[in-house]
Amino acid sequence: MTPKRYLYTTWRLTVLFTRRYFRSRTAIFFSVLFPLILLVIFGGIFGKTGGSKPQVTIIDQAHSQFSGSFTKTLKSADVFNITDTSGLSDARTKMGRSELDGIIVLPEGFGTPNQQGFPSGQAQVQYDQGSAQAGQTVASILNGVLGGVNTQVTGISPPLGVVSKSTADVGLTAFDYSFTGLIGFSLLGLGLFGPINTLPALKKTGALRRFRTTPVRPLQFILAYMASSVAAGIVSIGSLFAVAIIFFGFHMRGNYLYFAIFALIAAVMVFGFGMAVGGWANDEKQSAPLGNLVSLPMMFLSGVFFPRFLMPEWLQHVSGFIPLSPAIDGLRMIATEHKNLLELGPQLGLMGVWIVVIYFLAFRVFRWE
Amino acid sequence: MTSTPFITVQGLTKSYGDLLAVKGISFDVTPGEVFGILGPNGAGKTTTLEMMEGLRDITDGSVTIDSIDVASNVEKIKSIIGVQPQNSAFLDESRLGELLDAFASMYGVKADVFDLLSKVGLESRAKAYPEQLSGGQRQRFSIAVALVHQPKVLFLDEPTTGLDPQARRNLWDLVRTIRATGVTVILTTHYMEEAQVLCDRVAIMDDGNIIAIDTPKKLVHDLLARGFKPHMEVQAATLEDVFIDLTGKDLRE
Repeated sequence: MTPKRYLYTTWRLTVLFTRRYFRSRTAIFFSVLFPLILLVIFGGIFGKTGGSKPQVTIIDQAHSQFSGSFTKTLKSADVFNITDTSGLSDARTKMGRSELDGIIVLPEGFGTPNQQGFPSGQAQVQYDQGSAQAGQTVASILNGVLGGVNTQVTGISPPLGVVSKSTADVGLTAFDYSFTGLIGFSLLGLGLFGPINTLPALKKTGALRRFRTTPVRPLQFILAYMASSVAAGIVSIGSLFAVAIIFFGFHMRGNYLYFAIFALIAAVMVFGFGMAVGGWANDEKQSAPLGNLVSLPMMFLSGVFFPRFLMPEWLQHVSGFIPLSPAIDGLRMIATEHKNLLELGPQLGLMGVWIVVIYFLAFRVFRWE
Repeated sequence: MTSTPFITVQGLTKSYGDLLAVKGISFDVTPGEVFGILGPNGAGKTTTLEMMEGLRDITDGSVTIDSIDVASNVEKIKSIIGVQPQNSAFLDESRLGELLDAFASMYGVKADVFDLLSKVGLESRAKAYPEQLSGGQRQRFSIAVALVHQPKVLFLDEPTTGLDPQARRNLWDLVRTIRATGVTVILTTHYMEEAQVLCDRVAIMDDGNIIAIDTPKKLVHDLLARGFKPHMEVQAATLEDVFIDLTGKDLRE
């Protein structure tokens, strides 16, 4: 078989599988819609408690022109998420329910000119004892804003000060950390559950037996199937990114190209596991137990649903060797820590080892029927 | 039959452990012939066919097609034969035209989808999905797929099993048309009538052996010469003929 013919066959098979894929409602549901639904749920959970801006309300007791314009300044400064409340007691109830991180009170007389003729006064930050940290954050942000106002009204910039600079460009949210886990879930859906569910079913109907009567080689079939899964993965992960950025303010730190290359390598690795199980199994009775054995650790110990860095240390060490772990770790490091591919050597190395092992196995056990 | 054999099967044997499924059978097939392998279920028909197609390892003996040894040139053999396996299926959610295109690509050729579908009477169904076809249409499409690379030999494993009488007769017409283009056809069946109307020669298999091989006419003649008398009075028509007559011979889609 000439290389040209070899590739031509592989290409036409890829087209066949890809078309079939996008016609299948179940496949689209599990690989595109289901991760999106999870994303919306996750985004909803993390968007609330882990938003980068504290949730506050402003109680203006001064009712002066100064306090009014100060409130406006705060609103337009976009450092807080400001909710309106009907009064201090309403605000306290809301804080008790963790709807608010702090209450900013502008007391009576806030903004009254002092002896030098400058507006003066002490804004007050009230916070719940249970979330003191959030309260401190509100206070320090407010302090910074007041410092700016002071400089403006007095025209004197303070000789000494602190410039705080976050290690990342913008504050990272919990959502940013959990997002790569969802990418991992999408990889599992396409690369693992796809072949595990599809191939035994095709063997059962005899659709694969038909391939065997032709000169097509298992490798061509596997490559075409892989390529069509990658095509579906681009749509799936692309829509996850779109929804994450548009609706949940996802911050992408790193380089999209690095992310894409790394995700592709991860997809190839995960697909190897799906191919090994689905290519070997003749029916669901064989594929289901083995599929669960492979998929459950990846699903629960690799950081799909809870980040691995939140696990106990010993578990982090153990779970680090699960194939999907370096994939999700690496994607997270690119997305949140600006890492490039060279810095991800350990993750790429571990994935490389898994790729060699699993494809060696997958070719050995592949069966057409 | 005087022409040189196109397919030679010699001492073909298949064993699974102690079990002998095919017991050293030999026969020749001449070019352009429709050759039938008859026998009850479990006689070894499919195993024989699959060894000839290079799909099953040959325990002993040899098969040669067009001077090519099957066992040592499986890939070469696959590109000159067309195979319709028993109860084969196709990928769902793929159109007939797309499937033909993909199967042609596996042989490194381009499919003339319209021509292939016309041959099997499905020219208007290029955009249909296999799951929308009736049993007879599916079998005919399956034959179209087997013809996608213009093979020299066509293997049909029980092509009419499970089909209704109209669909079966329609398939017979199709096999005759294919034969007219010079393709050698090897088929298995357990319908004697099918073998009688379709096959130039038949081999009757039982328990892994070929117990008779000749033209249907000669086999019947020999039987009568041995003094055989049919149990029943020979009817000029059968109930199936009545059925076909009443419902119309044309295939119902």
